This record gives sequence, C-alpha cells and structure tokens, in this order.
Amino acid sequence: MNSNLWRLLKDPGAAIGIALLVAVVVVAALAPVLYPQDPWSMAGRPFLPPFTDPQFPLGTDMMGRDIAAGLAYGARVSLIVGIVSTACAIVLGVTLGGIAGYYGGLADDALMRVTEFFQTIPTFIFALVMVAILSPSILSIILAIGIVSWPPVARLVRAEFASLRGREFVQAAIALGESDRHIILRQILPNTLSPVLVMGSLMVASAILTEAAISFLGLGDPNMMSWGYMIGASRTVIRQAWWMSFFPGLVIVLVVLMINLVGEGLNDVLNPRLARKGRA
Amino acid sequence: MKDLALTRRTLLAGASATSLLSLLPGPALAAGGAGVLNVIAFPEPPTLFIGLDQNGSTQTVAGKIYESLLTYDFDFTPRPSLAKSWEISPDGRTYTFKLQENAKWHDGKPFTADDVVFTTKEFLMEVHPRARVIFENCETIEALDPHTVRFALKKPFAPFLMAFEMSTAPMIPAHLYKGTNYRTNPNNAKPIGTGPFKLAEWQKGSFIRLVRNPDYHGEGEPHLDEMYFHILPDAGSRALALEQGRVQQTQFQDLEPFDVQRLASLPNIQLITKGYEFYAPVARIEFNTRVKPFDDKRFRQAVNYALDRKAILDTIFFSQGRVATGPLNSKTRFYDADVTRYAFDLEKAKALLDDMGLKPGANGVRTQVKFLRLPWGESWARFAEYVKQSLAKVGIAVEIESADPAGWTSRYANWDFQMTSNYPYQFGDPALGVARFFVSSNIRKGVAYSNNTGYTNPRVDELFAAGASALSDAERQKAYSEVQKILTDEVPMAWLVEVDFPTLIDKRFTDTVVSAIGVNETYRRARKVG
Amino acid sequence: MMSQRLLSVENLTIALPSAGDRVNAVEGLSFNLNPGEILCIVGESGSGKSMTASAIMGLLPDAGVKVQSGRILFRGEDLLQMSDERFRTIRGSRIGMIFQEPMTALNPVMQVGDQIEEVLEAHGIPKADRPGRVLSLLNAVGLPEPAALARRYPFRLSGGQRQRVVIAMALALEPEILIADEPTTALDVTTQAQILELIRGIQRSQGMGVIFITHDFGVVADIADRVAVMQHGRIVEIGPAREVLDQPADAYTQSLIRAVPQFREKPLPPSPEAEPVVRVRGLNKTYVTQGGFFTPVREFKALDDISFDIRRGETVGLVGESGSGKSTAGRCLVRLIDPNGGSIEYKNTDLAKLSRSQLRPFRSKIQIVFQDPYASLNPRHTVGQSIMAGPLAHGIDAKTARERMNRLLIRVGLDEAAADRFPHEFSGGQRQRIGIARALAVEPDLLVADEAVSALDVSVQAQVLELLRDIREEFQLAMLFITHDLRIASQLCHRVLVLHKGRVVESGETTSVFRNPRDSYTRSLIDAVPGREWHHSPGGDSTTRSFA
Repeated sequence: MNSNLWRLLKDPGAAIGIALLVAVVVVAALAPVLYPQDPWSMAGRPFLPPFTDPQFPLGTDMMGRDIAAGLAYGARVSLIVGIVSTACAIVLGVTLGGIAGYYGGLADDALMRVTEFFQTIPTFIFALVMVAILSPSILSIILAIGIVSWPPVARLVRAEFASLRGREFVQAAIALGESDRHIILRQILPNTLSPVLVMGSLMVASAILTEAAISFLGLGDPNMMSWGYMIGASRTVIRQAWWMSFFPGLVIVLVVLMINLVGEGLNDVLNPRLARKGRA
Repeated sequence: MKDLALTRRTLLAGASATSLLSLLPGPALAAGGAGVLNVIAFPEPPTLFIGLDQNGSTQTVAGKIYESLLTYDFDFTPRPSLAKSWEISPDGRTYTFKLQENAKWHDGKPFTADDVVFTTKEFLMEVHPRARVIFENCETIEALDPHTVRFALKKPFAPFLMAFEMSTAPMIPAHLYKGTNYRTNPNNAKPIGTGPFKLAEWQKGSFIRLVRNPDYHGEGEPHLDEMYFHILPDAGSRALALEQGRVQQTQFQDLEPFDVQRLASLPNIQLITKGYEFYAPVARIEFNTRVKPFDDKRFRQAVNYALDRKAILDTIFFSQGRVATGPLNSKTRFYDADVTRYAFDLEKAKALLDDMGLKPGANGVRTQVKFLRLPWGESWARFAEYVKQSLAKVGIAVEIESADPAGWTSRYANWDFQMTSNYPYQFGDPALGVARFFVSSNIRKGVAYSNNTGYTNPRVDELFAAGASALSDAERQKAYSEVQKILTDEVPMAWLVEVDFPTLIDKRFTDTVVSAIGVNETYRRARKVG
Repeated sequence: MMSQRLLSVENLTIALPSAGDRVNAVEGLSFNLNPGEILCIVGESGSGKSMTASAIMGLLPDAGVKVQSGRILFRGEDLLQMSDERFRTIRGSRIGMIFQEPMTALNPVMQVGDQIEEVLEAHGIPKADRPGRVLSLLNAVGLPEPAALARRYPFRLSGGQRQRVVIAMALALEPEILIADEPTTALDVTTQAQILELIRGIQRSQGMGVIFITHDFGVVADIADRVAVMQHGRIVEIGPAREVLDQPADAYTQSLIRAVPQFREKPLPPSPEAEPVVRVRGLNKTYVTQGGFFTPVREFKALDDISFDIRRGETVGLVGESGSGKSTAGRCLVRLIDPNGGSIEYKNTDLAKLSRSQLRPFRSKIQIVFQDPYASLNPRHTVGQSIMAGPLAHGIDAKTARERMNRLLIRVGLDEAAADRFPHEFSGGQRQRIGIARALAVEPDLLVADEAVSALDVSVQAQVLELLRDIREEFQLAMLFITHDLRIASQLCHRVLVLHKGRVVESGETTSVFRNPRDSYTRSLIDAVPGREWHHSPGGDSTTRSFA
C-alpha cells in the first residue's frame, strides 16, 4: 500500500489534488480556531466587496457575514456529507452486492431487482424528495445521498464477487471448510476494495455536488453553513455582489476537480494491478 | 399573502430555481404594442375562477375578469363598481344597492340583482373562506327589482361595506352556477365575469392572454386591447423580463428587494408603493403560547426586546416598509400608535429571562427553541437566520426548521411549531383581517391563518366583538385602541415590520394603480400614453 | 543448400525494458531456416522463443522492447532495415503466422469466410477469385462442408476448427515461411495430433519453411527436422531433430529431455490396504440452462453414472479431453459442485447427501489442488495466512497451526521465511507447492489434484510430480489425479479411469490400460500422444535411450 501511495504521489494530478484536499481538510478542521465567531454572525457591513477590508478578505454577504468564515465552515459540511454519505453508500452497496454476488440465485435476483428499482429513479430528484419528506437536516441529507448512491456500488461489487467466487483461491477456501462469513470478509472483500475505493473517491465528489445542489435549492440544513447554501442565498444578488456566489462556487469546482484527479490517480495505481492479477 | 401558500404544493416552487424553464416561452412579446400590457403572474394561478380560489396571483388576473359591487379608495372610501349607488339605514342594519343597468356577463346575459342574491346568499356561503363570516350576519338578502338589492342584517356589523371587494365577494353568474355543484361546474375552466377583460387563451406554464370586453358597462372602457400575464417562476428571470421591457409591470413579491432598488432607478420605470392598503401586512413572529417557554409573557417580551426591528427592515426588507408597532398596519384604519413599544434592548431582554429563572449555562445558552422558517423565498430564510443570530445574543439558542410550503402550512395549521414567521393580509378592517388571529372563538386546529398561537383573553374577545358591531367609527376606534394596548403588552406575536410591496411599472402606462387593491383592480381605466 | 537459405537470423539481440529482471530477452541469437524445413524452437517459459518469432514478424511489443543489434535476412534482405511499407508486402503474404489462441486471432463478429476474403483483398487478389480461393483453402485445412462453414461465426466453431481457420488464413497467400507460435498448446491431444499432421502435410506439399515454437518435446519429436533449444534468451543447442533428441550434447537439453514424462513400463505395486477411503457410486451431474420466454430448457450431462473407489496410499487417475467431465468429477468429490445423484461414501457417511453445514466437519478430509498456480492463492493474503486459514477454520489453535505451517513449508521445499511473503513473489512451481501445503495443512485423507502440474514448465512439472509422489507415500494419502496428459497419469497413478463425454469408457490398472486399450477412444488418445514414436509407446517394443 505504501508503494501505491508513493506511486499516487508521483502522478502530478493526484499529487496536486491530495495537497489541495489536505489543505481543505485542515481548514475545515481548524475552522473554529481560524474563525472563532460563528459563520452566521453578522460581523461586518453588508455587501462588503472582497479585498477591501483585511478583516474580511473575501468580503461579506447581504447580512454582513464573513464569506471566508462561511467557506471554512462550509468545508466541514461538504466533507462530512461527502465522506459519510459515501461511506453509507459503500457499506450498503458492498453488503447487498456482496450477498447477491456471493450467493447468486434467488438472493441475487431479488437484490438486483431492488437495485434496478432504485436506479430507475432519477437520483437527484429522489434525494430531494427524501430530504423534503424527512425534513432538511444534515442527517437527512447524508441519508438521502447515501440511499441514492449505493446501487452502482452494489452492481460493481456484485460483479466482482461473482467473478471472484469462481476463482480457485475462493474455491480452495470453500473446500477447506472456511465459513461463508470468513470467505466473504477475508478472502473476497479485500480483493474488491481497489475498484470500490476508486468508485468511492469519485462518489465523494458527486455527494459534495449533490449536497451543494440540495442546499442551493433551499433544502439544506438551515443551521449549517454550506457552500451550496451560500450560492443559493446569493444567487438573487449575483448582479450586485458577484463575490458572494463566486467564491463558494470556485471552491466547489476546485474540490470536485481535485477529488476527481485523486480518483483517477487511484484508478491508475490500483486497477492495472487488479487487471494483471487476473492473468494466469 | 394569506391564501397564497395553500396551493403552492409543488416542492420547489419556494426555491424557484427552475430558471431554465422560464426562459420566456410563449408569444412574441410585443414590447408594448398598441394598448398591450405585459404583466407577470407569479406563481401561476391554479385557476382563474375567483369564486373558488383567492390566491394572490389568481386575484391579479381574475380581478380583470370579475367584479364585485364596490371598490375602495386608498383611504378605504367605497367607490362604485357593479353598484351605482348605495344607502345604509341609520340603525346600521339595512344596506340597499342600486346596480349598473347596462352590465352584462361575458356570455351576453344581463347582470341582475338575482346574481347578487345568488352569489352572497348561496354561492359564497358554501365555498368562500372569508365571505362566510360576513354574510352570516345577514337576516335577509333580497332583490327588490332587477337592479336593486337589499341586505338586512341581524345586528349592526360595521365592516359590512368593506365586504364588497372583488376577492371577498366576486359576483358569480347565477344562470351558470345556480343548482350545480360549484366545485365541478365545467364553467370553472372558462371564467365568465362582468369585468373589462375576457379570457382569450391560457398556455399553461407559459402565459395567459386577456382581451378587451367590448360590451363592458363602463362608458368607452377599457382602453387597453390586450393583457398578457407571463408565468416566470424564477426571480432572476422576472427581473430580467422587466429590465428588458418584455413585461411592463411587476407587483407584490415578483422581484427580490435589491432588484427593486436597481430597477426602480431605470429611467422608463416608476415605483408605486400605493395600492396595497387593503392587504397591508405586518411581518411578525408568531409564538405558540401553548408550549414552554412561550407560555410565559416575559419570554415573549424578551424576544421582542432582543430583535432590532430597524436592522431587520434594512437588511432583510431593504428598507421597503416601516418598523411595526403592533398588530395593525399604520396604513389601515383604527391603527393606534400609543401602545407598548419594544425598542431594541438586549439588557431588558436578559433581565426578563433572568427573572424567569432562565440562567445562562456554561456556554451562554439559557434555553433552546425551534423556529419554523417560512418557506416563501430567500428573504424569509435570511429573516430566520437573523432571528437566530439575534436571539443567540441573549442566550436563546434557535434551531431553524425548514419545510416546504405544504409542510409549513400543515404544521402551522396543526400547531406543530414553537415560533414561526408570517405576514397575513389585513383586508382593510381589523374585524376582517386582524381579529381572526386573536379571538378565542377562532382557535381551530387544522385551519391555517386562524388563532394558531392559542392566545386567549376574554377582554380581547369582547373588544373585537364591540369593534365589529359599533355603529360609529369613534366607538370602533376606542375598542381597537384598547385591544392594541393589551396585545402589545401580552405579545402573542412579535410584530416587526410593516411590509410595503412595490409596483414597478413602465411610465407609458397610467391609471393602473387607482385603488386600495392596486394591481388586483380591473384596470378599466388603465391606458397607454405615448 | 546454403545459397537457397530462406531466412537467416544473425547475432540478434533484443533488449528488455530496464525494469525487467534481465537485460536482454534474446541475446546473440543466430540460426538459419532452409526451404522445405521445419525448425522447432523449444524452450521453457521465459526462454525468449516467442520474442524471437515476434521479432521476425516485426511485431515486438512497443513498451521498451527493441532490437539492439543483429540482422534478420529474408532471402538476403534485412527485415530490420526494411521500410514499413515494404515489410507490409512481405508480412502475411510471404511470411505467415499462427498463434496459440485461435479465438483471439479471429474477429468474433465476422463470418470466417469474410475474414479469409479480407486477407485476400488486402493482398490484391481480384474479387471474383476470392470465394473460390476461400473454399479451396478451407478444404485444404481439412474442414468439413467448407461452403457452410465459411458463413459461420468463430464462436460456433470448435477450438480445432478455429485453429484450422487461422491456418487457412495464414496459408491464404501461400507464404514461403510459416511461423507457428505454440499453435496446439490450447488444444486437446487428439486435435493437436490432427493439427500437427495438417501443418506437416501442407509444409510438405508447398515446400514452405516453418518455424515451429513449442515447449513440448513430444511435439518436437513428431514434427521437427531441426531443433533449436533455447534457455535464457540464448540457443544452447541446435541440430537435426533425431540427434538432439536422442543424443543431446548440452546439459540443459539433457535435463529437459530427462524431465519429459514418459509412459511407465511396469505396474506400481498395489496399495496394501483393501478398504477404500472413498467409495463413489453412480455419480451424476446434469447442468440445466434456465429456459427463458423464447429459449427452451437445455440439459447437459457432465457426469453420467461414475463409480470408483480410492484406497489409502493409492492414486487413481482421471484422464480425458476437455469437456469429458473429469474436473466436474473432482469438484463433486470436494463438493464445490453439488452432484445430482449418486453417493460419495466416506467412513460410512454419504457426503453427497449432506447439507453445506453438515459437510463442514468433513471438509478437511478431502482437499483439492488446482491447475492455475496464479489464481489459486489469494493475492492479498500472505502465504502463511493462506496455509493457516484451513486449520484455523477447523478450530486448531494458532500456535499449532503455525507450527504445522512451518513444517509443511519445509516439507514442500520452501523455507519458513516464505510465510510472510505474498504469492506474487513466488514462481509458478513454488506457488503450486504452497497450494499443496495449504491442502495438507488440514490433514486430509484424500487429495484431489486437478491438472495440478499442467500449467508448469516441464522441468518444474517433474519436481512437483516428485513432491506429490513423496507426500503420497509419506502421508499414505489417497489421491484422485485429474489430467489430460496420459504420460503424467502413467507416471503417478495406480489405476486410471478414461472419461469421455461424462462416461467412464475404460478403467483398470494403468499400464495395462495404456498398453492394451480395449476402447477405441482410449486407443485414439494414446495414438495422439505427441512424440509417441520417440517415447516408445507403451504397447510397442521398448527401445532404450541412454543419456550421456
């Protein structure tokens, strides 16, 4: 794994991506230290343009709230939603896909019909409806994104499991009398993790985008400052105060781009190896 | 705003981010051809049959098609509409109206006293949410001759003459509706009124086109040939449409406040703030007085002291309005300025909370409350955020709850809230638009815009009853002054801002806003000059 | 002779990319090919034999592999200096090539006739002549009903038919040289014999020069005029086939030839114990494809009434071609596949009737070693983890399991340090040893070896066979040895069962079955064994061979 990390860092795109993401994580973690005041506090003069007041380098919004503080606190929401919802989707997708792929037959048919059912619903609309029904909060957003994102994971894991199940080392494990749980968790699962990891990294990016879109539409957690919310709230004043939507928009674009770079780097590092393994 | 939310059940209407949908489909927009006025209808009316639906935008469109007996000056002086003249008996119990003799329905049938009797006695009593409390005061309603109607009241009801406004008592054609099921009558889809304009075409999601009614009873009226109402769900595209001259008028909350300031400064646009007197809402926070800590007057007062009304007016409403002092808008009748005022005073607020025994904890928080935010656009989201920040300064931690319009209405109607914001219309008279929120007889679970705070005070009940039945304005004023004093002391709500709505209109159009119902008026005299 | 030299490789050196484990794939290679001659290049994997073929065809993989020095003269013209354009007129039309895997050489979505026509078209054969040429070519490679076959898609042909089509394509332009890179390795033994016969026949009739690359000395013995033996990118010995095969001068060649499995002469002493460890009776397995709305249910009988016993210390061979059901039988025995009928009796318990959970305590008693040493170990587990997983699953404590693992690692010829390493750090033969250690770790009574040595190079194969033989004696294991290679079966097995289309067509003591086959199918299998003449077939007179 260490050699993989090293190879990842040698990919310039991935290296830049990791550097920027680490920076975002640090800012998110240190937000309460960097900006001890709540991001909602109306700290300055409303509509203060950026680069005019050193206290508010990125300006303030229509209620005098610090844009920079909003970005820092928004990073927490974006990262939490991105990572936790992806984790939910992966746990759900790996569990269902693994069971379907390992046992096959009726379990496979049933689970894949369920998966297809979820896949036929437009994911964003589905997430939006769920958030609306559950009433908007960070938990309901995480849950909604998690629930709409698992089907591709399930399909991927199912395919991997189905093919690995026929591999001789798994057959050997069955013949040795290892339990199903042990075979699934110890023998097969570790071998499916590379593609899942790659998919997961890209899912984090799309979860961040989905959260931003939900918040943009006003269905975000009303008590959490988020990038999507900042854009949504400033959309109406975009002609008077471009900076209010520009900076959060820029941050979303950058973070999503960086995650994609890292994801592609991971793909290059992890998946050829998997492909090579397949050859006898 | 009263009924506006009830049918905005589409999930995203409040968010209105569907700007792609709104890139003006529909007719080639003549930028003001000969006698054509382009207006915005936002949101799209569910129907144009005003008898069954009184949504804000329904009124704006249907107000051109339907009429009532009267209309009102900016100071609420009644003016003729379908009634030529009227008399009130000295005991205040008999109202006799003489009707226009040449008025015709759009299908050519004459408008007569029978239509008035049918409308007020049968139709409205069955389907109209507000007309009922008015006309149930009538002992008899009879047609004395084809053009004379007499209403005999059981006891004096002072605001009775305010009832003949277009949306409160729209005249419905008896020959099409009598004896039918009003809600399923096929004529609902093709509105037949007496107004100066007739429905010509309705492209759902795109535009509504009205054309001049040549048989209108007003001599030589109307002057405009056509009116288009464009459906533009996104605030940005509405502002753009006005700016580019594709529409010539915006009203109510079509535009976000900052756009109003910008667009009002355009050379060809004038800003009119008159014409909303009949609605004159007061933006307020309603407290659910059933739940702790809102059951304690001191807590409600503390919240009142903790809010900086001027700052809210300036930052949230962009100075469009005035700081409110109590339940009545200062532009409506019987307003009294001599009430308990709540100047912005954090110390007083803290003292009241201390007095209640709500001491700040280690993190400075005294108590935790929930604020159900109003889902009607960005301003109300900012409002909720402002309240949260303000109350945090006195140690009240606010958690904002959000809901879609349907969800909000349901939770509000079923008392499932701790505090929420609102700004209902006042309908020109405290007996019609204000009493309903405070009298104990109107505590009705499941009904939005009733006494949802659960506030009860027998004296308040008495005073509102007296105000409604008093014969002279002086007596009415006395009752309402006292009620305003009581309410501002007990504060079941925090009245914050008297909201002014702006009408922006192309300067080439005149005689548009001529009454207390402004843009919802018939536009019979509106004309294009130059 | 020298003057008509067809192809002459002089001092060829091909460099590998710097990351490789040796500098050059091929080093200082020189040989000639004369018209009408079959030159076999033989060697183990990694010897550079395929790279040589690719270099002649100008088909070296791009990534860092390039010709360092030397010349490849085709009728006096250096192919390495030739322009791409000129080379194109030679490649295909004057030098043809066939590959190991015929399926990948054919376009799966194009009818075979069209594919051959395409080759003709590329080399300017007039359109009118093409269909006739296609039919005569298909006829020439011995395909039945050429007209109907030309309209088929590759997936509808058998492996042998596909290889014939590929050969037809290579021959379409009557090349002067045919390069065949392991063209029969993926085929069954009887098919292999036919294809070898075909190549030989065409070569004779057309007078082509053939470079035939193989790892199998049996094939060499059957087909070669001359042999070049390669090791580590160099030719260690080159000469006329009989000379090299019968009197190899080079030590490496000698060791290779010694490792080639031979038919055993004498029967093995029968196993003393009379009571069988496993008694299989009437084993059946039928695959049923699920019918859809439009497709009928189809049945395929993989196993039809198979019965046999295996005694302690005894090895029973299960031989047959692909699709004969031999692997299915092995997997039924370890219950990786559930049989439809019959019984597998082990210590008075019918394993065939047990549910998965009832079976678990018996799992350790019957173990399996697989063919593919790369696929049979979990790439993410250390060797130690893989070997200890079985004992741990059967409730043996970690310390005992570890001791047992260390002992077994040494027993199979590795050292204890191997336990902490991952499978990819080992060679194929070492992995197969690890697979055997894993199976032995649960102390089975019966070991199923499913083509356990088939993927290995011949010298490694001999060592692994030796190991299997030793552990059989040491642990008194009953063994079911599944293989397609009759020579290997004869080396190891006390008794054999010959499987054909799911049925046992013949069974009995190994040497007697191979010497006096009663069944015609058994006989055809034995006849098809490559290098039979050279091997002195089990039924024929034994001519002794001696090595220096």
